Amino acid sequence: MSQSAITPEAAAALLAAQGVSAPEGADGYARFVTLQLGNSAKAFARLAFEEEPSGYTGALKANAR
Amino acid sequence: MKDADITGLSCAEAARAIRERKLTAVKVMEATLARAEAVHPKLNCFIRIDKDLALDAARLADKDLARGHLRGPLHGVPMAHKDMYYRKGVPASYGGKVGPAQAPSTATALERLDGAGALQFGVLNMAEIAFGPTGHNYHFGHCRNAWDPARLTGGSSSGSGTSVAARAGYAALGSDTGGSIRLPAHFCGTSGIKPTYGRVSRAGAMPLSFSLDTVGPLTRTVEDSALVLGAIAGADQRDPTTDPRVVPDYLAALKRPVAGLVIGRPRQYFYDGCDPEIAAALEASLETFRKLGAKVIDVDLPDFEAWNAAATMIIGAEAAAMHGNGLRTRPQDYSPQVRARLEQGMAIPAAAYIDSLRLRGVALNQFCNEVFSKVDVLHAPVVAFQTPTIEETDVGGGPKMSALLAQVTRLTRPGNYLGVPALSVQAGFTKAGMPVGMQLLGRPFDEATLFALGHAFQGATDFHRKAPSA
Repeated sequence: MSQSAITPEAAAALLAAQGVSAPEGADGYARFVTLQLGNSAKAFARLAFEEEPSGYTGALKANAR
Repeated sequence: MKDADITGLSCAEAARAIRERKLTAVKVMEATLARAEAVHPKLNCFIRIDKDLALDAARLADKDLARGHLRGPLHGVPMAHKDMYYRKGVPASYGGKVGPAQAPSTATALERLDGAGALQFGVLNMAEIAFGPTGHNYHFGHCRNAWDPARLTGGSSSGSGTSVAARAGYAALGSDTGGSIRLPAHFCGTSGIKPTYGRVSRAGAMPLSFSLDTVGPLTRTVEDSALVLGAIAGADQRDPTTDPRVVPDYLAALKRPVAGLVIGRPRQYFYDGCDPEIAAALEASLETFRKLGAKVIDVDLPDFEAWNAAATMIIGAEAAAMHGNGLRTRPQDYSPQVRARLEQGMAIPAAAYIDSLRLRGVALNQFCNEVFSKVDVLHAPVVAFQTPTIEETDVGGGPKMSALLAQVTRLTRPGNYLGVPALSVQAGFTKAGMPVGMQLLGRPFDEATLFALGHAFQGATDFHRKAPSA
């Protein structure tokens, strides 16, 4: 696993802190989150500072037929 | 008319036959119940069949018609729905153990179908909490494909897909958060519409991911999808995310000419590693559209891989939040795969979840600017691989889970992220005899153009008329 990946220990600790019993699959959870964060990181980096979730509704209406 | 001929009618045809007094609602209901009871042992598609209630309801529908009261365009048509829609005082299983024993209200979609005259005769198997794209279910048993019971139905609206394909119901509500209408439509050879986010009320429907959940029907024809969507769509005070715009006459839209419409074939993403038989079926469907007068052009897509990842994080985080208390207090009530996926969602950082939501409007603008400036609809496969067996995809919550599930939803999930409407229509069969679907994605709130194209396609082909032997 690369240095930039979320570790299984970190994933397990996150879940335990939320009151979920010690997960058996922490290794898989860590890989999953690392993959999704990696795939979306470039897109997130291009997000304007001012963007907010409510912009979606406006985009939906603006692009409606 | 023989029972097989009755159940072989489309939803629109059955409604017309009842309306014109060529068939009674009781006769149609009896034929449907007999068919449901015949196929259920092979397909495991029903969670409950309310036979006596359904026959009583059919008798009342006939009485109403006899005194001149037509309830609506679906008067007397039998339907069963995915078991995640509330009917006041009745249990909803959510495909598992965590649904309410007595629903507190009736779902808006069911109220509207009731108002249109449809008769609910049962509830259908589904992926547990609608959180699975394959049709496996460890509580009620795996749902089985009507074309080959050893193979996947797709999910999460698994019972909706296979029961409609098997002629055990004229239409069925599904729900689509990451592909859950389009996937079973593809695997089972039906039509299915995932409407624009906000087009259909989710009030009284089990929430999975409130930013992405949509409600829509699976049917045997595109005309039936238009008919049922027309009955359930529109603003609802009980769901503030619904859009106030007027619902178009979708049945009238079926008659729109398709000549001159421009269909986009994606250059990127959708055909990565696509099975040659599926690619060939999709190409043949484009040729049919060309013969109908539509123009087909290749289009470049923005970064779907990033959008797919963002959608995956939204679903994961929201589903984990919805079920967080359940995970803490009754984890044993979830099957290993669903529990593992929910736990996975609890490891997603809050900033990444919020960035996924912030990116959504930007992504939709980019998609519309770059794609819908050139084409009227985007045409794409629903799934890139041949239908596997239930056994070979039975990975539970083990190490192969994430990769398998990501592969199944890769081509459908971005549509939920964008929130655009997507119609799944059967485009052919593989050499193994399994259905192949195509999806047509349109501008926000432009379901009508999708219906026009899908209906024209079914007018030129007969895939939708073929019935499975199960």
